[in-house]
Amino acid sequence: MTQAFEGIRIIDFSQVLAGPFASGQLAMLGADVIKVEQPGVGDQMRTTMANNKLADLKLSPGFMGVNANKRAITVDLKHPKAKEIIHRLLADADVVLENFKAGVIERLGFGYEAVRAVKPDIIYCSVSGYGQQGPMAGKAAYDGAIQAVSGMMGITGTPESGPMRAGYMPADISTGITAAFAISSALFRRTHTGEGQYLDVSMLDSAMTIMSPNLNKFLATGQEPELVGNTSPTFQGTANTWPTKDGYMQVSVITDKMTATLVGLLDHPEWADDARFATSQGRVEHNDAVKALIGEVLLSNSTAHWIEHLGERGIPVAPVNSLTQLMEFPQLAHRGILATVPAPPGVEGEITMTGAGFHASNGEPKVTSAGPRLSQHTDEVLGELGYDAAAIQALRDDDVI
Amino acid sequence: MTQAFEGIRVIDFSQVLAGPFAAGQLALLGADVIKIEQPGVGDQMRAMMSTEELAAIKLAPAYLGVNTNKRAITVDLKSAAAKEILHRLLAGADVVIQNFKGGVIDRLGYGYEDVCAIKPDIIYCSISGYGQQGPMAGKAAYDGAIQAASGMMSVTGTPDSGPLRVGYMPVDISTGITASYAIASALFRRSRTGEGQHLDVSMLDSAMTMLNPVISNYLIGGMEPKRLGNISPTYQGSGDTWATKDGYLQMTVITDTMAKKMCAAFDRPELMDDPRFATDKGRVDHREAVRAEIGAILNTETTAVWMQRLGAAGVPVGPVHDMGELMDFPQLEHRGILMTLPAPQGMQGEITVPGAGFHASGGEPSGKTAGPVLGQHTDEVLGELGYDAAAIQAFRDDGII
Repeated sequence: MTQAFEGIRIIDFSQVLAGPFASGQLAMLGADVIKVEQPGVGDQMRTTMANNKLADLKLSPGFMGVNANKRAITVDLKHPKAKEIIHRLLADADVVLENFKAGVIERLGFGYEAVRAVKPDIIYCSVSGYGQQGPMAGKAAYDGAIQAVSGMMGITGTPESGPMRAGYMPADISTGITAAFAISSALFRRTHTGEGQYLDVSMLDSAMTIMSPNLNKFLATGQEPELVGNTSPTFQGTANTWPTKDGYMQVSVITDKMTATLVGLLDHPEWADDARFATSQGRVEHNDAVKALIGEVLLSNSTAHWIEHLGERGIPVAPVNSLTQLMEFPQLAHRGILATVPAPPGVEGEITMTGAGFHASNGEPKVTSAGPRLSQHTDEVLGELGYDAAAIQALRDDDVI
Repeated sequence: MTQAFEGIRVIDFSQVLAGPFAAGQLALLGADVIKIEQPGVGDQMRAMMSTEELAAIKLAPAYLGVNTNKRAITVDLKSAAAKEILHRLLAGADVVIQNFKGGVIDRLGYGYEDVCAIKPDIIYCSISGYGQQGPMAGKAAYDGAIQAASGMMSVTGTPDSGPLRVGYMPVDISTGITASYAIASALFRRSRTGEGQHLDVSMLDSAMTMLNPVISNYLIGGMEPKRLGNISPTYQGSGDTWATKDGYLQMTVITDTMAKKMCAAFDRPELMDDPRFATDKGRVDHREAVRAEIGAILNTETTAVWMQRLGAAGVPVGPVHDMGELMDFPQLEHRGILMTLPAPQGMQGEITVPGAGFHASGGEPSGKTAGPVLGQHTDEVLGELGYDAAAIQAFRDDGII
């Protein structure tokens, strides 16, 4: 079945996480993503968060996880001979993606206006920390800075811990999904307008969309949220994380009806008539007391017992999984969120990584190849652009590729 | 300028956050989103995370934040008469979004096959906690449950705090963006193939895509993550959050080049002679010592001074903002991420909500109207479907709308 982006070519100058994640999502739906990297150096993610062996191969796990299905070429963009290669690439390109610091790609000669002169209906997506304008434009930003600036950290943690970041990269990845959405919407728009677009995606904006419910409450009330640890953002004592006999579990009971079911299952039907439990207001005002009463009961049995006992009656419960436990979570076998593909050249066996966050009845997103070695497809792609073996060798001898 | 989704009609049966956010992103790009709610009851988000005053008029801030630009109608889907109204609506629809528990919408008669019979090229997006198949299909799940089950909580917090959830809803909103990306890609695919699709978006899958680098490290690199609190997921002691003289500062120094810039900005260039600072490996192996040394330096000045000095040197730094400080961040006025709109019926003045996470050179995402009151557009939409005033009144008298 035809995938959405078959025949769509993306020239991807981006590195690290947000940009590569975005083009990776389109690659899983069939786009031909050509990743352009600096000869000998490559995407800085290739050596970040890796053991020595994988760092030596420039194939860190984090790099491989977001660069599946792509072709990798090396071109020294500062070299005068790079221009012709890139122009040939752009002639057949639908999308350009870049996340250089503001102004850098213009100086290299491949900014939006320059690319538009070569390909008038190009969809050109710039990904940055703070956007292309304003006092912070061009400032360096990794995920951690945006977790701090966006207020994400300010509402995470406990009074004892102080502001806390998430142990994953919510700003990077949400920016990547936002960029994938922006690009796909621009491709759709091009089908009925014939026009390209310049897309300016910022990590701060994306982080603020993730915070939408909290921000809206703040904007409406002016009240700074407190650091509430594992309490639900609804502040109800029936929604929290509790230790059980053998681990932790999370419960999100936030309606009166569900509370009545919950207290019945906990063998305390009398709590249904207790004003602290019966209403949303009561569960908020007596958060600590409600939490403690429930915690006492939950501590008396195992996580598996409670998941079964509460879950089968429709209570939203979940085990707090470690990654090992997550991999054993029976639901995963039915999803296909994990994709196993042959490892890239130089690595033995197979690798497994996360794929797309959805299934499609036809034209399903698919992982077909692992993240490529640095320059793995340079000869192949340059060949397609009309360079013969001698010309490619000459470019290599001149350190252009 | 034409927006990407002008003329596209989305019938949105979904409630709470992920589904309404997805439809909301399409609405910001011009889609005609018709939100269908139960008469008298409506989306449960209308009364959650709210002040009493706004809950009473079913216009909670978090509801308003993800339902801009939509039209709201009420139809009792269990009534026999609803069938004809829905048939008329679906005949002109491009997209259906629903997040009922598994099986519910099929029993109501508006499952994918039913809708295909009316509109063969429909793009039908089902959003759920765990997906449409498998042992957890149909299980209730709010954001907290998926933060727990996906492993997000297991990597957040410190050894002292235990597993910790973040104070916002990363799962709900990333699922919403994933769904809007899936729908945009399906619309593009339809423009080329003429075919619709059934999209199965799950919160667990979306959460796992957000954990992509962490899961890749685990699956490919064999590294079980530890709860590192605010330390960067690269495990380098130079990526962390520190107390300054007057607040907190987040800094992510993870390359040797950046370490050099940081030491220069500290006026301590000699630190680069120390292998604990100079190399990636040193910054990981001597994490605590590096972190403590940096902390002692940062504690001597204010956040603003360090933002200035380190920022000017190109070091990725961010102040840890609370919500109020975020609103005062000068960068925001250059972005337009916050949209100010006239308040909906029953509220005074204006409301401000976050919009799309990107800008576009043509067909910019834009907010036009605030989240509608329950049933606000019922008469208008039914009128467009060919029902006259008498027929609409009859539906109302029968409690159908």
